Amino acid sequence: MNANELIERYASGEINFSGQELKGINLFGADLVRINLAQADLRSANLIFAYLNRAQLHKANLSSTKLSGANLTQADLRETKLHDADLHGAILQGADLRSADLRLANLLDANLIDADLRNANLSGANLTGVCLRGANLRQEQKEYVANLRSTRLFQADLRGANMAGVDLSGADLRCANLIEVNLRGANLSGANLSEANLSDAFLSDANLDRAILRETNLSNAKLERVLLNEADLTRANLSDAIAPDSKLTKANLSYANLTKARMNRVDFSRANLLGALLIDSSLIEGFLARTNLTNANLENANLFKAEISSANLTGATLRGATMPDGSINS
Amino acid sequence: MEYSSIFTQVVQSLEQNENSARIKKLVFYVVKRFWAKDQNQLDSISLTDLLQDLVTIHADIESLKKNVYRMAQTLNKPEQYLSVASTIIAESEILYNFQANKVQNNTISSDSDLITVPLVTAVRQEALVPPDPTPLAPTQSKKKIEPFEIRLKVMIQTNPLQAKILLFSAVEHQFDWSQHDWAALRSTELYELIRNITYTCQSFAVLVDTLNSTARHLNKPHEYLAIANIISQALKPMYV
Repeated sequence: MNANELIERYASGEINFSGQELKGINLFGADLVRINLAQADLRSANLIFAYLNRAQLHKANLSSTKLSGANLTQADLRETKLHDADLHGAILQGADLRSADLRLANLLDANLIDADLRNANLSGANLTGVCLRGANLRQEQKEYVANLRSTRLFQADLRGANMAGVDLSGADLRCANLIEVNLRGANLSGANLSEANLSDAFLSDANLDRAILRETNLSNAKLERVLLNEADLTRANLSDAIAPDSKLTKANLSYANLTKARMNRVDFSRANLLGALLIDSSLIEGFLARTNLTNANLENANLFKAEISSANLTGATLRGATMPDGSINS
Repeated sequence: MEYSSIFTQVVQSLEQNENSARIKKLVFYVVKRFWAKDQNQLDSISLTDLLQDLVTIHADIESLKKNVYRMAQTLNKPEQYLSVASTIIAESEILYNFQANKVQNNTISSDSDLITVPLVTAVRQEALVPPDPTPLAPTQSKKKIEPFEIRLKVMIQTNPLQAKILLFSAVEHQFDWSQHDWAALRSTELYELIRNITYTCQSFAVLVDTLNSTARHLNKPHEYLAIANIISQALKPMYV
């Protein structure tokens, strides 16, 4: 079937084109609202600026398809093959992309607000500048999890998105808006979150080992039991963060702000807290073996039962701090 | 004292500031009109050269002040960069004041160097006072502007690709659908285009005019005029 025939039949009221062989078809700017293209072969088709609102594309093959600026609002894209597809500036608001294959797809500046991306594979995809507010990517069960390994999410807007359990290892999340995002149990090992805003985010049980969090805003974030071993948190803002039982061995927290952070039972062994602000922080039962606290400010901090015997406290301020034995430093 | 000595002092003062890294990033952004994506790009040019360019492209302190504040406002962390902007403006003001005094003194005496030394000291003391409040200064800003909120407004009311085509046409040149322009559009983020249009258009009226006239020249003028209106309204708080 060629493009003219499809457009004519659609204009005459036919909407079911499921399973059709439409490889390479040119439907630039075509109005195909609610069309049924389930299981159709649309590989390498040109669907730039096409109106595909509420289209049925379940299990369709859209590999390497040009979908820049296409309107796919509330489209059914479950299990759709979108490998290498170009979705630059496309509208996917409220689209159902569960189990879709979006590996290496280009989603630059796409609108993915309220999209359902559970179990979608976005490995290696470019999601720079996307808006994922209200999107759902949460893990449902062990094998049903969205894959965003090494995905580019530079300056993406993920405010309030549900990303619990998602695999974001090695992802580029620099300068991203992650306020109030749910990343509980997510894998962010080796991810780059420099200058991202994670204030009020939920990160309990997440794995952030070796992640880069330079100048990242983690104020008031929930970080219970989080893994941050060997992470780079230089100049990060962790004020009012809640992070009991976290692991920060060999982490770099130089000049970080941990004012009023609640970090009881945290493992800071061999961490670098050079010049860090720990004013009014709670470090009860902390493990600070060989921790570098040179020039750190621990004014009024609570170090009750903390292990600090081998920590380097050269030039550190401890005025009003509660020491491991319960005494108050004058 | 010579201008070059004052200039060196100003550069040193900025380099020794605790926010020196951000200062360089912001000056780079204002001068080059794009955000340095990595350290190599920043390292490729000295702060001396950047500051020289900054004062060259702004005829007076008022236009510099306006531009630097507006550019800072478009960044990811406007609050932090607005305070950096104040530092840059305060230091740049020393240079503009010095030049102004020099011109004034030259009209009185040809032996200006003899009398500029005490004047320079006075100018530097003056510069310690915060710069004149402007509508965009952090303390004056009534409405908190979040760049992500502005982009969201554009994204939910328009087709993001059409918004990019319009902004690209307004900032660069009319989008001609060539492979070259598609490649250029793919390498530029909507965020960056929004920043650039606020740099190009120095007032809200200019922004509206620029976007509307650009829209009229695109293939579907009615659609693009509607988009122009949405973008203008989304960016309006930045010009209040």
